[in-house]
Amino acid sequence: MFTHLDDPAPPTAAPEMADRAVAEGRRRLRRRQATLGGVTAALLLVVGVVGGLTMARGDDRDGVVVASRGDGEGRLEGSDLGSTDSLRMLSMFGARGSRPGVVRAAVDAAEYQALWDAVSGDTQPPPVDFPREVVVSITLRDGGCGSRLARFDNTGGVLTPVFEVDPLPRTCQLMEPGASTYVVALDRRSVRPPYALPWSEKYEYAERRPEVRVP
Amino acid sequence: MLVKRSRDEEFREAYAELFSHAYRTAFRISGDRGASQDLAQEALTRAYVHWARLGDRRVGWVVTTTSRLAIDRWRREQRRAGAAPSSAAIASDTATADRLDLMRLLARLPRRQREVAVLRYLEDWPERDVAEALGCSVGSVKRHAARALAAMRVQLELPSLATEAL
Repeated sequence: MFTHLDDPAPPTAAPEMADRAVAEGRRRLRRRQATLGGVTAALLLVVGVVGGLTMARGDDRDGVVVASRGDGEGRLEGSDLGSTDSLRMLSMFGARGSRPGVVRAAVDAAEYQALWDAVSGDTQPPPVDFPREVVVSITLRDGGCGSRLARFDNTGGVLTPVFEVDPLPRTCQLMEPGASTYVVALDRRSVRPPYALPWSEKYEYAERRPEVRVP
Repeated sequence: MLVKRSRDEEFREAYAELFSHAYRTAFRISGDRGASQDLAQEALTRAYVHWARLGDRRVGWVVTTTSRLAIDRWRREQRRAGAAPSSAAIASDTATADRLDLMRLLARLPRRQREVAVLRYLEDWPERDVAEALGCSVGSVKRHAARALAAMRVQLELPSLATEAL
């Protein structure tokens, strides 16, 4: 019924237009992934405290990661977990059979394959150096609105991750299912003991509390 | 790297078709060739960013995103220009008047009704395709379409709308 509004001579898409879209899209993805890396690191800590993330102590080469346990509060020392240097974004998917809040972790190839199968569909998993890295996937309710870790609030030695949503409402995609799964490889050396983060029910990550053992 | 190559290949293959859909939607709303190309390119760039999650809904996503971008652009222009003059006062032809009414209508509709209206009426998609694109039931599409159509009948005076059955 609106065909009378059509352009009688619409332009055709030139290959360089696709190139420009890819280049700009890559730039936006890099910016997006850089911020999401911080979210992943923070969530790994939350899982560690709540679920008892246990990793083996070793030297710097092998990774020294031991989660403190206790009442759910403590201190974060060592690496800057707001940094993305120790994180490698493997991929991001629309949430596929995973409710927001589901966290998965893999510490060897077999677990990684199972994790990847659960979140990715038919694609092949990128390589991971398991002696140096562990893999974590988190499904977040984000509505495509660019959830990101803005900072850690430090009150009395208790660090609380603070998440923010892109302030531009128009970046939120109305048709999206509202949740995304982020898969990252985390350098085992990036988390050092002792650490803990306060658990808060305001986060939606409590549905799974996996225990992860790193040999 | 494998994922990124696959994304690029798929995106480049689909670009021309998606651009065509996006441009048509943008032009039907804006009537401006340059702006429509820019809007289509922006929608396609956003599609690249969200490519992995779009799946089979790419066309619908690009069309509704383009319509939203076009409406946002129109709103910005309205704010810059102050109060919008009536369509009768500035429209020099039927198409221009229809576009003004169309933009006003789409801008007023609730989100879901607008998405349905864009796909169902602006793009003339069958209800089943709209439902698949939006991830909802055909019944839901019918409800939203009926409400949007009722608003369009009141606010627009397009002859084809006046005769279409709910």
